[in-house]
Order: sequence, then structure tokens, then C-alpha cells
Amino acid sequence: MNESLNQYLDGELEAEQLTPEAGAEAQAWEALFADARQAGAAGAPVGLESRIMDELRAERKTPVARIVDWWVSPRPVRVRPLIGLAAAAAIGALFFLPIGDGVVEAPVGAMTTMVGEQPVYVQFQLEAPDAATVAVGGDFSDWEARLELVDPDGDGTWSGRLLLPPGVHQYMFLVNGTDWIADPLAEQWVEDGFGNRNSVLAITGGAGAGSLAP
Amino acid sequence: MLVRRYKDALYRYAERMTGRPDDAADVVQQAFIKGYRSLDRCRDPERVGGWLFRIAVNLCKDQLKGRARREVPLEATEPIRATRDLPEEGAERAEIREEIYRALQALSDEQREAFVLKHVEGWSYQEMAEKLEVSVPALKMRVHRARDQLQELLEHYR
Repeated sequence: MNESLNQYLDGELEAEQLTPEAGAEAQAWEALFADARQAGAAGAPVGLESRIMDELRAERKTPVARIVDWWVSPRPVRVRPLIGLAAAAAIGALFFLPIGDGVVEAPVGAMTTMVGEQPVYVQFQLEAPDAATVAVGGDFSDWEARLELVDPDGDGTWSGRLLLPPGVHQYMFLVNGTDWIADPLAEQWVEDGFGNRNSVLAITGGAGAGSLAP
Repeated sequence: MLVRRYKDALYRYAERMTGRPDDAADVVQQAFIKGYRSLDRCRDPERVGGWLFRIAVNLCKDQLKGRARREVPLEATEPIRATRDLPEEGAERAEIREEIYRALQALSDEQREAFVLKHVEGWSYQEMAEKLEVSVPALKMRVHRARDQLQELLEHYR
């Protein structure tokens, strides 16, 4: 490759300083660079952000909290069916062993009933008199600001409703399509690990169940 | 917020450097974790993106050192037609980009790193020198060699 072309591609020469031949080559290189920018993935795969956030949350926990988590968090356990059956039989035998005068006792109320699993509508609201647009995004939308809030009377109060499943959700407002801000009315926040805070929303589901939405 | 803001850019770089989506995802994840652990060493919070990028650059290096680089079957690569003869979009374009991607993987790690930072990420030599802690002349040499190599690998492109 000739020196002037190298200098141009390094940003040290202007296109006008190239010979016509070198200029044509330079254009071909520019096209190659443009294609190289488009080659490969366009962005991170779906789920990577959640994975990272999970890791960061785990990083923030104390060693004691991690141990507690390990014990209380559900996790798949691989057991050979034969051993599983044997263990179940052994546990069952314990409950039905004669106690004292030979009366057989069985556990009562061992089944947990799940209630309140229905999604609920959550009302989001933000005072932003200078905003042109306001939207909401959170971990429930993979941080895409999908819900656009409205301010029909132009008083600067933006609001909108979103159907969310029960659970603890993190969210933020996207103002003017560029500025992510925490909800000033949120009662809880969580650090995102880099000095910013996400607003936290806890929802208990079910018919008539309350929401802790701000 | 930082994760959302920078994950795509970091992933794009890591994927081009490692050539493997899984490795790239690991690099990005590790970059954020390392960044979190050493947040107090980030001197300028305004430049946290560049700082994370530098961590990712080093992680890519470690990743590549840790495994033999993927062999690229260049002999199986079809010649690439002249750009002006091609449609702007479509399957052929995608094929060309795939060829370029594969050609990038055939460069040495140092050349690929220099080329990607210079011509894909658009860094200046000065920025590269600061972040990679390599002199500007050495970086220019790497970029020039990368271009020469690509010229050979993609001789029908131009």
C-alpha cells in the first residue's frame, strides 16, 4: 500500500491530497471499514444484561448474605430416581412410625397454597413540566422504555398504567428519549453498582391485592 | 444504567476480538464485574465508558492468550466482488460482511485489536496509545500490517 494512502487512512492527509488512483483505493477502504463496522453482532444478546445485573447484585452481598441465599434460594437438585424414591420412602416411614401408645400421626397442612399470582395494573407518574416525552422502562421490559406516559392537560404531570406480574421490579423513567431518571416518589431504590439508583417497585398480585407502587 | 448503556458496544468489540459469542458475553460480564470491584480506581467518572472499554480490551487479550486462535479456512473463502457491483443491502451484503468478519479473525490478535479500535471503533492513535499503553508508532505499524493482511485476504473486495 502506498504511503500517501496509509497517511490518508491514518487521518494524516486529506482526500484532496491523494492522486485519483489513491483516492479510488481510499474509497474502497472506507467501504470496507463501513462493512467491518456492520460485521458481527449488532449488540449484546438478550439476557446478558440480566445476567450481569445478577452478578453485580451478588457482588454487593456480604459473605453471610451469600450463605443465607445459598440455603434459601431454590435451585435444581439432581437426584437419581432410585435414591429419590428411597429417600421419600424413608421420610414417609418416619411420619408413620408408631409413637408412644401406638397412635399413628401424620403431618397436617404441609401443602403451601399459592395465592395472588395475577398481574396488576400499576400507575406510574412523574412531574416533568419541561419534558417533551416521558416513558417507563425496567427489568420487566428488558429496560426498553416501552410504556409512554401521557400529559393530556399539559400540566407537566405525566402518567400511564402498566400491567405487571407480582414481584419486585426495578424501573426508571426515560425523559426526552435520552435521560434516565429515578422515580422521585419511589419508596425504595437499589444501587445499580455504578453510583446510580434504580427505583424499586414491589407488587403483591391477585384479585384486590395491594400494590406498593408509588 | 451503565450496564445498559455500554453492554452493546463492549459486546460488539469483544465479539469481533474473540470471534465467539459465548466468549464475548463472558468478557462483557467480567468487564462489568471487574469495573464494579475497582470502581474506586476510576479517576474520572465522566469517562467510565472508556475505562470499562479498557478493561474489556484487556480481558479480550487474556481470553485470546488462553486459547489457541481459531483456524480460519481461508482457502474455502469465496472471492469477494467489487463493492460497487453489489447491492447496498441483502444477502450478498451480509455475505461480504461475514467474509470481512472471518478475515478479521485471521489477523494476529494485536493486529486485529489495533485495526478494530482504529477503523471500527473509530479511536485515534493517541487514544489507543493511552488505553493500550503502546506507543503510537507501534500501533500504526500494527494497523498498517493489518490493512496489508486484509488487502491480501480480501483482494477482490477493492
